[in-house]
Amino acid sequence: MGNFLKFELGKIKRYTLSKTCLFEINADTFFVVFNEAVDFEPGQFAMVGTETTLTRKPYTLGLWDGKLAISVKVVGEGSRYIVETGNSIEILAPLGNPFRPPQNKGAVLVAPSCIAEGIHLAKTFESDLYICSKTPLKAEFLAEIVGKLGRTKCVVGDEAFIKLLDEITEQSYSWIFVSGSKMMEEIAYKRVRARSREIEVYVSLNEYMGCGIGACKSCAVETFEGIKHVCTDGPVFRGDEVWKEQ
Amino acid sequence: MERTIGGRKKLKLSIPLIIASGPAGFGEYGKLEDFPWEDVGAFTLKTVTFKGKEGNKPPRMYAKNGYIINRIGLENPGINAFLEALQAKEFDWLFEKTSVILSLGGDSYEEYVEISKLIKPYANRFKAIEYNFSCPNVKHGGLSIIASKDEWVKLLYEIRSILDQEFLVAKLGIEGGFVEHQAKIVSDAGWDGVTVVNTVRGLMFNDEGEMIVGGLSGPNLFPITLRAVFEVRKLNPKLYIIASGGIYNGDDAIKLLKVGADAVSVGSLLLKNEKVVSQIAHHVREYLGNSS
Ligand SMILES: Cc1cc2nc3c(=O)[nH]c(=O)nc-3n(C[C@H](O)[C@H](O)[C@H](O)COP(=O)(O)O)c2cc1C
Ligand code: FES
Repeated sequence: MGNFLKFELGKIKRYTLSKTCLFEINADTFFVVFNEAVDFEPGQFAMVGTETTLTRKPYTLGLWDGKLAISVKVVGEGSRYIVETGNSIEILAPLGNPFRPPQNKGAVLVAPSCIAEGIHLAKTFESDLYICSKTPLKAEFLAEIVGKLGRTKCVVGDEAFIKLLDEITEQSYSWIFVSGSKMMEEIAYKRVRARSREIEVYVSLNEYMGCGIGACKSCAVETFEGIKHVCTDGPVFRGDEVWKEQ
Repeated sequence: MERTIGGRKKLKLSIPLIIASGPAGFGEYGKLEDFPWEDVGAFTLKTVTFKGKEGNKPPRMYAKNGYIINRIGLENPGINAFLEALQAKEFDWLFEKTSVILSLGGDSYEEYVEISKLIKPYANRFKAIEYNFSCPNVKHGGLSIIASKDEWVKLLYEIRSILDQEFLVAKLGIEGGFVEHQAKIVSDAGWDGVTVVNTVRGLMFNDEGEMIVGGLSGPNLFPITLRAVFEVRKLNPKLYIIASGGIYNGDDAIKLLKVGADAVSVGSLLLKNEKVVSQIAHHVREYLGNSS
């Protein structure tokens, strides 16, 4: 159950952000860049407040020219607010644990909704970035990323995603990090580990979050060590904590 | 600890604005650099049960339009781990910030009695002790303890005799019978107050199509809370009433004070924005300043 009666006080900050630019990633997903810089480490997230929802929404964090960036897939009122209306947006950050991969070379596989985090991780850990999308990315945005980072590939469609997973070998990578839908993460874990147990598979889990700070206990996930909380124990877990290999 | 006004024992709080049990956990909001402690009259800890609980399987929460539905299932480390943490001074910072209300629960008559005995040596650290007789998200205890009325009445008397000095509050839902009648039973058993209402049983499908059978909180609960407080006050002039359910702004709080609440509490609001607590506090202070 974890020692949740013990925690550090006063560490989470409140930031009021203003948007500086918005890129279209694909039809329903946007890359939002703010004017402000925020202290965080790779893998951490923020709870983003909106006028239109009863709970804040969690977004993993990235940087764009030194400024805070998030990717937002428009799925409901909250995400629509962030993309369309909110010009002064309040967030709580940094939240969750930093991701610390093993030393050797890795690959970062992200859905368009997690590109901000993906670019930041790939840059920090000098790894390859694979953007795994159901639909093609806007060419201008992809060119921007390639220009900034290099070593980026876009993989479009389910078949191409499976093909990518099948090409990942322990010779190419000692770890992969996957962030997207739960299904995408589970498939990646099972597919890659079925071929090689030498490759560590990390996933950034999505569970509904009420508070993002460990108070409400809404973000539970079942692990082989019992219930854990995505916001305080994660958001990044090793795949073998959550799923059995096939 | 408390003062008597017109026959009613009242909690002495810096402001009658309380953080409800649950959404705010065991004080994790203290992790924020700027939680508005100065505007909080008391903080209710998440319900501690006799045995620790892992809580329900995910998914546990979903919010839409005017409501939140949750099925946390009273996840908590249990009374022994809690008392260890209390003795290890893990909560001292919270006692320094504000008054603390302890919320207790159990799975059976015996567990409610045992937990009361265990807490007795520490009870004076808490402003009040709230018994959760209304959680809809656990199979035993919570709401179901009230189902057997005779046993519940006996339990109320027994707890009162164990904790004979403490300010005792029963947290009642609206689904175990008319809440004003239940509040009367609580009052007759010599308890000091009630918290009304807890979440109301609800069911919703989340965006993934998964069914969440849980408790409903948030703004949609407000008229139910208002009516419950109104009815409880009519029948129970001597009970201290803490209103809980759907309070999101100063206007909500004042309406509740007008129909007879002694204090208002906020829970789900924190998930939207804890800073609103200060706005509510401002309105409550203004209202009480004008009405006294
Ligand atoms: C996530 C969550 C957890 C809760 N846990 C508890 C609990 O442990 N004990 C309790 O007495 N009430 C619990 N409640 C009920 C709240 O204390 C409160 O009575 C209810 O949510 C209605 O008020 P609100 O609309 O201000 O949230 C919980 C509510 C929520 C949303
Ligand atoms: S989101 Fe509230 S505990 Fe994790």
